[in-house]
Amino acid sequence: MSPMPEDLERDLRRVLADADAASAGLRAEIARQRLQQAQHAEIERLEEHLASAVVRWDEVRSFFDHVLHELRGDDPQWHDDAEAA
Amino acid sequence: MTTSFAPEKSVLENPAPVVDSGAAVDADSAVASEATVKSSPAFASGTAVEVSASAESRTSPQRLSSPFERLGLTGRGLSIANWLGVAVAVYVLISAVGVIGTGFQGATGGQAESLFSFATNPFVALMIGIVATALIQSSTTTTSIVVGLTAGGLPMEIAIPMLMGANVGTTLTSTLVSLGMVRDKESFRRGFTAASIHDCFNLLAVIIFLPLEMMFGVLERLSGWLSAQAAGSDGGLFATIFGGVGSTIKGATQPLTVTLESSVSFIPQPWQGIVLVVVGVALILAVINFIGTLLKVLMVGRAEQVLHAAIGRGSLSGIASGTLMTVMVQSSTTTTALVIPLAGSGKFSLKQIYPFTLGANIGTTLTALIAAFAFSGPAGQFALQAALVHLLYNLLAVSIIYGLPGLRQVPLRGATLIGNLGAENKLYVALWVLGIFLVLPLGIIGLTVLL
Repeated sequence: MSPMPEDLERDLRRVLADADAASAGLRAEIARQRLQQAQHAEIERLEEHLASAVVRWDEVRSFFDHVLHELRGDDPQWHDDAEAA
Repeated sequence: MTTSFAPEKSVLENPAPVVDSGAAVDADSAVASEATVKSSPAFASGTAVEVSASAESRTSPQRLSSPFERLGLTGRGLSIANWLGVAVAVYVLISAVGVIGTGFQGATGGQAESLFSFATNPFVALMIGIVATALIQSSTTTTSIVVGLTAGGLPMEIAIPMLMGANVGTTLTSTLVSLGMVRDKESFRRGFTAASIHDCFNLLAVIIFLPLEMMFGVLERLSGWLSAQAAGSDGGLFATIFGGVGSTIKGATQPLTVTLESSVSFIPQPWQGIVLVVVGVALILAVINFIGTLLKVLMVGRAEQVLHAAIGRGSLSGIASGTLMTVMVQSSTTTTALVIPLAGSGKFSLKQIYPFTLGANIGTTLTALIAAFAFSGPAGQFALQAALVHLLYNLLAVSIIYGLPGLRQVPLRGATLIGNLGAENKLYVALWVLGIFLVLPLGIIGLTVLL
């Protein structure tokens, strides 16, 4: 098979680059749309968030108890879920 | 599309993973697919992530409820009761602010300046504003009280730093809300960072504007001029209208104010004044919470519409939505606490939350303006001036700090640093909370009083 002419190769590379750029743009737009949909879904839970966004003094106390335990070098009562996993 | 939240530490250390069926991640806008991503690398790419079930602290969705539901009211009847409740509570609020003004005047006997000489140090007044608001957990309450005290004779040089301090103190609530996420490290990092951005912004505003105020009296001069235009005796049409509205409201609230004042008239001064101030503060505390509870129930639907409309738009839209939301629920604490679960979910970036939080700063100034209507005449002008200080301070702070690209990044970077430190070691969180909101303010106040 004879080698491809340089012009043709250059054109094909350009087309491929354009296709790659268009593909990346489409993927970014899809990702952006999905993120916005996720955000809208979260806003639909606004009542739940408003109801839960309050100071829970038992958790505040638990937090400071944990800090005290750490300062004393005791084992903490709870640890990071990610580390446990 | 705004860039998703990405902690500096993770951005520097970890590259973005490939998510969403092998598609390359756009560092600015990609979202995780159904896979739940908890680790820093995915978050570092600017990827908004799903929160794992273990991070959700509650299994059943919570809902808002009105106190009037206990009476068996539902539907339209419940809505009417809620709105009537708001109207009555606002009436009581304005009356209570008036009572504070009268009480303060009686308690100080016109000697407020000498009695509060310890607070003429603006840093002390600032710290009083911080610690009072941190303890009350409501900047609306603090600013309403300051408006009342100003009408009763509290010097503006003391009131202005107190109002600045109220801005700082109110950020404690959202920080405490974020502590509820501490069991999930990444949710906590996001939530605590979101809370800290409000802290950092308000602290930066104090650093910029308090020295300016001390040197040039910018806020006092500007608010004084505006209040003279609106409520001054030689003002034009606007002053006439404003004076008319103020007199009408004062007349309407007179019965309750007079009733409260006459109920303690048997007590000699200055105790009578002190009791009136205490009663006024207690009433304001009670009705502010009541108003907030009712308005949350009444306005949640409209708030959803505002927030839906703001998604995908720019930062001005974010500021506007934060302002509107706060005006609707009459509580910046509610708005700024709301961003914690939104940030913790990973679906909203820090860059989106930032302007929304600033909008809360602006929206909360409306209540102080309403409270100023408790007064008329010269007292009314001082009360209005204090309310305008609060408004101007927040408007200028947002315009300058958020408006200048270099300054805009400072709260973002500060909050990211604090969030990373706090997520890695909870001791930093404890030091931040106790230091900024209690130890430092009380220490400075104590030293000033003792020395």
